[in-house]
Amino acid sequence: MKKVFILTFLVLVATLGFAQERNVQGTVTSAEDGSPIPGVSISVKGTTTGTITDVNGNYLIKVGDNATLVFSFIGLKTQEVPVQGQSQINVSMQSETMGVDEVVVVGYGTQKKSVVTGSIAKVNSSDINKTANLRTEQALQGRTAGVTITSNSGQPGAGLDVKVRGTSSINSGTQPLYVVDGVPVDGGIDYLNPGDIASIEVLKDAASAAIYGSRGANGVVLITTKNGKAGKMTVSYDGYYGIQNPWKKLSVLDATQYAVIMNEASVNGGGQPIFSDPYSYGKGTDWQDEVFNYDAPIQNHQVTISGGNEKSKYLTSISYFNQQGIVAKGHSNYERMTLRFNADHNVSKIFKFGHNFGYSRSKSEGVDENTEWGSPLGRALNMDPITPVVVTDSTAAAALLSNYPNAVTNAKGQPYGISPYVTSEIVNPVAALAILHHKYYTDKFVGNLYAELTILKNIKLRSTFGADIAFWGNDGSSPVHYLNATNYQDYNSMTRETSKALNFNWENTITYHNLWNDTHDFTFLLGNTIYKAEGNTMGGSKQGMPFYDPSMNYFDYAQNEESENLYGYAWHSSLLSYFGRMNYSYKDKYLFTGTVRMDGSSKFGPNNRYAIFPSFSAGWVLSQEDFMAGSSVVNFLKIRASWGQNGNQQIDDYAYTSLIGSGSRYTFGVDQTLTPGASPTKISNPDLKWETVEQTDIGMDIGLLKNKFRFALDYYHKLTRDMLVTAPIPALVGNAAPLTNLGDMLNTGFDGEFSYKAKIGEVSLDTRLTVSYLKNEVQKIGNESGYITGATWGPEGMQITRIEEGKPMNYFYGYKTNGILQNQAEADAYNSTYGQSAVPGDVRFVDVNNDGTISDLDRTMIGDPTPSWTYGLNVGLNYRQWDFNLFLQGVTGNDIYDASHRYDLANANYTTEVLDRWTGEGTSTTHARVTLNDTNRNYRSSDLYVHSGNYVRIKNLQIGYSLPKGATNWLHISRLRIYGSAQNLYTITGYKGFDPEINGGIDRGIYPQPRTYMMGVNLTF
Amino acid sequence: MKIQNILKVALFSLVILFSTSCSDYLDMKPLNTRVEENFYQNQQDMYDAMVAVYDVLQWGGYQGYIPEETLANVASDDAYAGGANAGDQPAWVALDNFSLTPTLGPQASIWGRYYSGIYRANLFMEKLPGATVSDDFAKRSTAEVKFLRAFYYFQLERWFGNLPLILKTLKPSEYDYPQSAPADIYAQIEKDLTEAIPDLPLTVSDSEKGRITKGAAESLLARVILFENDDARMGEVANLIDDVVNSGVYDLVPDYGQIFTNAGRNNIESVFEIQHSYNSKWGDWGWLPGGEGNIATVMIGMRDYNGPTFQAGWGFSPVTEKLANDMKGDPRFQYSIIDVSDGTMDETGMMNATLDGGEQIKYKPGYQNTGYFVRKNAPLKENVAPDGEPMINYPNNVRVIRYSDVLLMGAEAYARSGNDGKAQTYLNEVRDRVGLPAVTATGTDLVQAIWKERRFELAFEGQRYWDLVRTGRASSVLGDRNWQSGRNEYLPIPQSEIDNTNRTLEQNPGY
Repeated sequence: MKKVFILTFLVLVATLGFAQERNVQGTVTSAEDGSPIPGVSISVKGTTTGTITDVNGNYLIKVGDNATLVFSFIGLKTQEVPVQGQSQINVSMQSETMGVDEVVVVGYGTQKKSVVTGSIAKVNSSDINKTANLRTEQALQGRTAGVTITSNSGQPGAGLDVKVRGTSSINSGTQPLYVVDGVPVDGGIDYLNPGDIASIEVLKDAASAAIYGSRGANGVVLITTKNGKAGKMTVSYDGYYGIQNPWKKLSVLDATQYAVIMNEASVNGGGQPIFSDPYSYGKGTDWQDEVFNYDAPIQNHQVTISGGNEKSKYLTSISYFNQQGIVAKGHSNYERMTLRFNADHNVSKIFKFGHNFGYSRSKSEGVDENTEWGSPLGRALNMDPITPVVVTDSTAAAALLSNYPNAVTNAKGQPYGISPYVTSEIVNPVAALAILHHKYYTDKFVGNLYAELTILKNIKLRSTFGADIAFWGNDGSSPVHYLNATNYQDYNSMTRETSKALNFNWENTITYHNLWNDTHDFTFLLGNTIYKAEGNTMGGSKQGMPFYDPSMNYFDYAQNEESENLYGYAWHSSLLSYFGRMNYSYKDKYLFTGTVRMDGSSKFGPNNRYAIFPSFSAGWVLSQEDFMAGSSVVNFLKIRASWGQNGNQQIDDYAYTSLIGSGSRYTFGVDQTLTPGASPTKISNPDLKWETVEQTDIGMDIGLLKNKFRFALDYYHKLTRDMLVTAPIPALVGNAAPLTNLGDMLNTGFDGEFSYKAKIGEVSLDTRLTVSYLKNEVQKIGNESGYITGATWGPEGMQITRIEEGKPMNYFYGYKTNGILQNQAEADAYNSTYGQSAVPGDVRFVDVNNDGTISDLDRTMIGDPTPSWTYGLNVGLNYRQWDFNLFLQGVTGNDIYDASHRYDLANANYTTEVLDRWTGEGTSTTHARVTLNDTNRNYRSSDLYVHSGNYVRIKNLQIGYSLPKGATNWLHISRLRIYGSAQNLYTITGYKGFDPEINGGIDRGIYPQPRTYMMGVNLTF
Repeated sequence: MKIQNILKVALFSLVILFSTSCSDYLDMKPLNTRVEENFYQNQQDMYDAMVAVYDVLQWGGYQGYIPEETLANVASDDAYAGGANAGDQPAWVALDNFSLTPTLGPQASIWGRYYSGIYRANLFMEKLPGATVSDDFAKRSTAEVKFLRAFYYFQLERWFGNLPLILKTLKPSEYDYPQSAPADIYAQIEKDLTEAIPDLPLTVSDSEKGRITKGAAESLLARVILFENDDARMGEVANLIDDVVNSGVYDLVPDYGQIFTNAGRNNIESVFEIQHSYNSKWGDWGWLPGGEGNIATVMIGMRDYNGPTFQAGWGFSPVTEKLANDMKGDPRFQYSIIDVSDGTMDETGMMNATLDGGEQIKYKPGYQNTGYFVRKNAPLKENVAPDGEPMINYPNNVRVIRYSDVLLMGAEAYARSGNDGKAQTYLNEVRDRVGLPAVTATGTDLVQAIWKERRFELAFEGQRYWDLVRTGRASSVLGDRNWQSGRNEYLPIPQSEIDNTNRTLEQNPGY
């Protein structure tokens, strides 16, 4: 291994400083707005020599003194400039028609969009900056067809689920690979300040992602951060401040309604009424009001300093972001500070280097969400409204405290109410928050250094060293408390955990580019990557702080040495890859790309450690053909097709082997000594190998009417083979089953992007619509039963999703129902036909398998959590100094499983929907009777819980005003824009829960997205 | 340097770059655990491996809640399923009223639990020859592991009948393992126990309490043979019991009430006792076997109990009125049953009751509430774990074989082989301890008296159901619970197991 490093280094050093020809360099900018144009093709007239500009519009080319440079770019007028001994030639290019052919970042390079043969979605910084994005991934939502972004939660700092063209795996990771400035980043990209981002490209098809081999199966998101431009230094400030609120409250029973319903349930169950005078309780407690945090602030501030000259360019930014959550004031918030230093230096004609360094520090607090085991909102929905938040009556308070001396009290010493009706995890949510002290932090540094050397005409050598260093941890404490009979603690306790990780990535590439006779354009790329990740975690817990103070949360302060509990673990993994790519273009008309990557990964079994991932793609630009040239309608038309294989190595380390677990302990001796025992944790599988995702993509790109209209359409067929499943083995084997490459999963669909740009008088219009259709099917599980149990609900572990052959991933599983049994005759008929013991008011379940009885075997598919259609619409308008942006986003074809009511707790509160319950013949056909003795198990998983998850949401509405240039010159301000915006302003949905945007589609009391109103400023000096 | 030379160096290094084998770079061993390939080297490793075989004894919560003795109580006429409601543990309800189906019931959990123990036992015996250990260690640990394998097979055999008899770790090609007849399973159980007996110690030191003794193996073998219910083999049982009695190691505790206290752990009456403790400070509900607590304790506690003595539990296995009535007047009632049957419900749905005719307590009635709860190993305040999740860390040991059971087995063996005098001696020793008069009955009346004594003496210790099954009384006693001869002798083979062996396993009759 050492040899590789040394020799690669030698190659870099040995070739330094050997140059032969005169170099000309410069920047190509747009005549329209002065912005640099990347991807401009520069050729030496009459030769085969050429280059293209980089992302920042810069180029460097070796020419003779008398040569003439030809600058060309689709959509722009071609320019010829004689060199005449100059070494610096800056060119400003005029547009030929509207719209500029973008350059897109591909793996290990850039390409003009017009010659790209794969399927790549792009979002520019101008798009990103239209919305105040809390996280970088949000910028992709609704703007990239085929990329589904779902919020896991509205909690500040919560991650987003990003799926490129569907879910491709059950047991491996399903999130894409993030590559920031060429460095693959682990652990998500929440450390990035969205304001630092210049562009995001998503490699969707296998051919584009194949250069990332075993890491590309879920697509690749390439993020390029901003850099300075040659010219004077600019200082800019961007900031906003907003307030957030829940956009919906659910209607739950008030105290009187609750008492009435509970009495009815008790009587229906054969008991006595519980409450003698329901109407004496009034409205009772509104638990949602107690748990929601109204007018929660959100703010972001960023200062960016950038500039440079022909030799060096730099950008430095600093940002601060703070968001309070709309739930659980003081316990749900996120704060992030970032620093960025980017620079590029052209040291000599043939040598340049640069770096991108980003540092971020985040601190957060969070509450449980979307769980039936006690989240603040779940508790607010299920807690009875009779129990008060705080017992204010001094006699009652004293009585409560004498019964429960450890009951939680507020600042006045008054105890929080304890429900005598609702039990288990459903405790007083305000009391539970009062004792919640848990903080999280992350320090993360991601940086890279690169050097690029032109060793020969057309041959470039580039070496990039990237590192991702992260430190993160959390600490928490819990005082003596009593919340209810099952939630209490008789001692003070604390926990603390720290982790650190170092991942490094060293990549070397050699690129050869040549253009023969202005017709044959070849680019060859060869490279290798060495990647290593390592890290460890250490943590512990201890009890016995003499006086409880959450700020004194350190082990030395806790006194109970016997309670000390320490743990720690470590991980490491490595990857070694070689890759090559060939791009060929015949007159920008016939395009071909071939890629191959070989990966070796420590994560796989010794029998299958290496794998090869090939891909091919081809394109035909019809608009370059003579028969279409000059068409006034169709400016641009390309059809393309690609095929490729990617791998998925996002699995646990050492999954192939059988670890010896030390948890197989037993107790011996009169002192009850805990005696360590050891046994293999599972059966090993030395044959474990990659999941392979094989994808075919057929697409076309169209530009119409001077490129005012643009379309990109893709059809894909994405098959995951050798999908890792925990092969169900018989239990008689005696140990847990290993992961085995047995499954198949198919995702097929369409992605479409449509844009329209026009200038009508002084109004310029820029609209973009993205639409995706996805169909997911699990084709093979590989076990006898053909299914795997998915999510469960409640203490009995009721199965509510399944992964099954021939069905979509994680479909909802349960009984079909056919109304409510209205009278005794119906009940008798039902009971005698199906051997049941239902009574009028009970649910009529359907005998799906027609075996004459209602049993577990009648459970079937009752819904699908995955949307078939996702879409986004962006409308941008500019009129003089005013700008307007509207962004709509929506999904259809998915279902939500409403698991927010604790069916197992007979006295849990209901939403007011229960008022529509069956109370006698003809009163309801959808809601069963209430009863404390539900012998028909009306609560069992059924289509009664499944609701449509369709929604359309105004994600963002923004109006901005830029002061006229002259108005602010005297303050040396070159640009001042103020704007107001609203996020999640309005949501159209039939779903009755807090929010229809739920990753996985199961609503156990989701933390909803906030509705935010904000004001912001963009200021540039 | 000329360009050609640069090119040569570059090409040369490229060739090296792309051809160097770097497999060592990709060989990443785990950093905080050992792997199967490099474990099982020395005596400490093998001791740890033996402890892992013991570990399965205390898995009351493996893929569901299956504390063995409580499950058997629910199956018997002494307790109902209970819980919050009928949907709390459907598997328990199905066992309670024998509405079991191949997919509904506790069978998959029981099956998986004991086959895990058998796998660990087989793995131990395969790895032992390759490890460096002393002869004494090898002999004793092998005997213990054989005992445990026999115990796990016996539990499985009683529940399931036709079992795959697996005596080695399986390769993937062997997973579809066929069943053997009960006779073959019993032969193997008896073989393991018979081989274990001579290599086991008569007694163990205080620090080793819980490890298997010779008396435990002899008593278990007696229980196995008795369960096979062959009158011709009663002499074998009697001999085994006499050997245990004459060893002088065991005796009855004078005060019956002391048996199920903390001080009563591993006392002189204890022949085989499953050890629990709260010292693992466990908190992971997702993997209960990782902790060392007794899950039955929280399960049988009163729901939302509020009072000075006990802790709240989940209301499972409420005692049947039938047993409570039958046992009234027996001196062991107060140590076996919590009587809160005078409860009245208040407006909050709580039962207000008097415990032992004194303490005022409140509890929430659960499913099938009778006002009677199991007292043996009930959740006491004094047993609450100081650390970890209290509900899953109760330190109550499970008394699997007590000396009084040994005596009653001896009494039954003698009675059924015609030695009524010896039978009465053993029986009356048990009765005398709680101040009950001596039984003078003979013949079948004596056998009936012994069975009745077993019901009270061993109430809620998981014996009643198996006594009913082995003596052929189940269909008459449990008939009102839908227990049917020819079907309910065994649980259904788990459907998942039939599926996952490509239907090599055959379902038990009646399912």
